[in-house]
Amino acid sequence: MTVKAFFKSKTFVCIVVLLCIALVAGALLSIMNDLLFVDDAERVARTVNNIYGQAMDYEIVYDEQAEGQVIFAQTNDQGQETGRINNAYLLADGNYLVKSTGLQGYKQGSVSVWCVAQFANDRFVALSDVSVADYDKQTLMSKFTKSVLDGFGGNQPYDLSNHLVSGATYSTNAVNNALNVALAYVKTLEGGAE
Amino acid sequence: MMKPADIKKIGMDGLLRNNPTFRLVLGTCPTLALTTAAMNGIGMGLAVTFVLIFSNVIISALRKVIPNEVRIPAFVLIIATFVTLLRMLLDKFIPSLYESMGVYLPLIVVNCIILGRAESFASKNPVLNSAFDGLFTGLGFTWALTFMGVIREVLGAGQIFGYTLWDFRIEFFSSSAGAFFVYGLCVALFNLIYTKVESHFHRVGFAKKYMTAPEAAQEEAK
Repeated sequence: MTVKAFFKSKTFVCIVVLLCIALVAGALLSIMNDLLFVDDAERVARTVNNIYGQAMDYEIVYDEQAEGQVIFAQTNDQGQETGRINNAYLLADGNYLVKSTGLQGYKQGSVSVWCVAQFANDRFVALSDVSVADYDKQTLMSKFTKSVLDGFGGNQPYDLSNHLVSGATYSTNAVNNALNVALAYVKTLEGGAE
Repeated sequence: MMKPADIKKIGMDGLLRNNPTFRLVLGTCPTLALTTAAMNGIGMGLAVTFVLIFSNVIISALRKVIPNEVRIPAFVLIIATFVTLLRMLLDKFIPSLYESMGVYLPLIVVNCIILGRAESFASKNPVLNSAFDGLFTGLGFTWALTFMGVIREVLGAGQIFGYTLWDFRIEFFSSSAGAFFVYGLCVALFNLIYTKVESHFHRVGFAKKYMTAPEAAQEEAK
């Protein structure tokens, strides 16, 4: 096939049509993404609103993406990372809102959770209001309903012997890892965040 | 120019005659997974309706431009664009629905109803007809999901649209097995009623055409 014949062929028309559709669709989605983008601040405000039923002031005490931030993470006996803190916010009522990610879930995927660390007189009391923020490769997260997640509150380390969602063992492991790193982190905040 | 009779035919097809859920048994995955509550059914149904209308309109408008050889990838590209747009809109404005629909929202891209209507209707009909087809097929899907959602929510959770009716509940109806059970019953019930009604109208139509007035009245009374 000559070059001229190619440009007159059906193949060329097909490629051009598909490319045009892809370009227009891409441009449309880019514009809409700019207009409809939900930033971190809005997500935090939504989470606070879901938990407290109203908006509340907060200040950022930890942001893993902030320049110079020392990463708070946990590792297991083999030196593999099991979980890390993503964000922590000091709420106006003195409690902390923490977002952490637990690793070693199903297919080595991860689960990110939000939780509130209840504080009284600058002393950590318990984790509460656990909710799933995001997950990767976990196919059974629908098992983690609100009533199931409410059972994940407390102030003791989490493991599969005391917190297991039947049928979703690996995903539970990731949730436990996320909460364990949150637990370890909030204990460092006793006496007030620096 | 579209005639009212065309709209009526498209409407009847989408809502009843070719109801995607109960007659064609399409879009079964979200039907089984998301009908644990009536509101989820409405949310999913309206999400599919949005994608159906816009993808049908664009596919119909481009039907003479898209070569036959690449029509399926082109349709999928267009459908995926509107599903992505829908995800952005829901995440921005109705985050609770966005979260409750989970993985089933992006899976609308491969929903048989949307690709089926694109292939069998939108790619062969004018824009306005295709828009109405998308609307009515989507509404047919919506009412079917809502109907199933109401049954499962009332029996499985003792609630209706989130409002508690009583403490009595049969957990089976909230489970996957319960979804299949209710779906099977709904399909059977719908087809039973539909067949009865259709044969009645067929008989009445036949009677009016070929019988004397008293005979036709007697046949209609049956």
